[in-house]
Amino acid sequence: MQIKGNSRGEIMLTHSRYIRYKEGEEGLKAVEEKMKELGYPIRFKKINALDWYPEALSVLVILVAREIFEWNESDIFNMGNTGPKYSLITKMIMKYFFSLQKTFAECPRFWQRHYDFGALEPVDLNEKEKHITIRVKGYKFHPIVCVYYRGYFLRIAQFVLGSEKLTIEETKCMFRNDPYHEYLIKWV
Amino acid sequence: MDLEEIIKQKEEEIRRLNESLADLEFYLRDLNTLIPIPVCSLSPLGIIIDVNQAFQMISEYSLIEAIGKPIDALFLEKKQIKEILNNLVEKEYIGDEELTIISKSEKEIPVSLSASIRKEREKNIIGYFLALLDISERKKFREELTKQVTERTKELQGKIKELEKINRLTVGRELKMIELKKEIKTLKEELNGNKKG
Repeated sequence: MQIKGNSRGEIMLTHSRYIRYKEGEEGLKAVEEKMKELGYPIRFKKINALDWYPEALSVLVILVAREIFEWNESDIFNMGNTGPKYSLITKMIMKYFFSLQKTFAECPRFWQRHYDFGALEPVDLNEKEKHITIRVKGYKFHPIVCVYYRGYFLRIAQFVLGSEKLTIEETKCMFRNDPYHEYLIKWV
Repeated sequence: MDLEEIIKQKEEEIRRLNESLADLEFYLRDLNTLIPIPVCSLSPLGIIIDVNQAFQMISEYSLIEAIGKPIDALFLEKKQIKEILNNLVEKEYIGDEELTIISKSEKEIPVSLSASIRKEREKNIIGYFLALLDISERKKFREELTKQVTERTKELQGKIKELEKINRLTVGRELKMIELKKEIKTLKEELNGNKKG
């Protein structure tokens, strides 16, 4: 837990819901056991959605689940993609998703509701050429989260654009020595 | 009051607010599970963003499967559901619209749909609420009733025809009797005339 920064309990709860959905109650228990074994015991039932927890713990949950269940990249992507479906915070701020422009403008606030560090910046919205660019700054925990975020941001875009024909690409990444993570979302 | 004290006070306030929010969340989740009426909320584009337990039961889609689907994908009358959402912009509430839900196992379930619009403080549309009522039994009862009424009407029509036939026969017989009486009367008159003559 050397890297500082906290996230809302809702994020870890969202992870737990996906693990339960995919691997059942036993799977969730297995993750809790492994976390305990690693010296970071957590009980998902005791997590409060709006309390702050170290983000490193949330990332560790994803890593532990990947190791136990031998998940591949696509599973992690799906975990991120289903995240907004379960998230109480997302549902609460869904009211800002009534238009593409508004959602785009609300990116920083969306991030602040989840994290007490870093930032999500709206960079470019081109409705004519149908693409959006956003940047995540000050977040460098593990490359697995880049995959998770691809799924996550794509779902938000799916909510706003109502289209399944969307693609997302991480065009810049802090793990490739870029100064931030950049995501390009395109739709048809 | 020094700065440290103010910070402490504010932190306590935030802690209390967080507790209240957590309580509210539990309350909403419990209520969501308890309500036996299928309810879902939609984004302004008609994408499902939340469903309750009863909605999952009727549609046979789990929460994770249902959220993110366009609402028309769950209805047989795709055009009608889109029209309902469009009309809500003006009417704000629409009740008792009969539609058909297609469940995951492709079962067609007749439902009565009520819908209302969601607006935020600045009056921007932020989505819709839909509530469904399974009217399978009601529809079955109504169909059964219609069938019974049709059968009874048919039976009655048969009886009417029978009565008409009897009526025709009776009337015919009466006419015949009147005719015969007239004939008798004429014959009697003829007979009396002959006697006198």
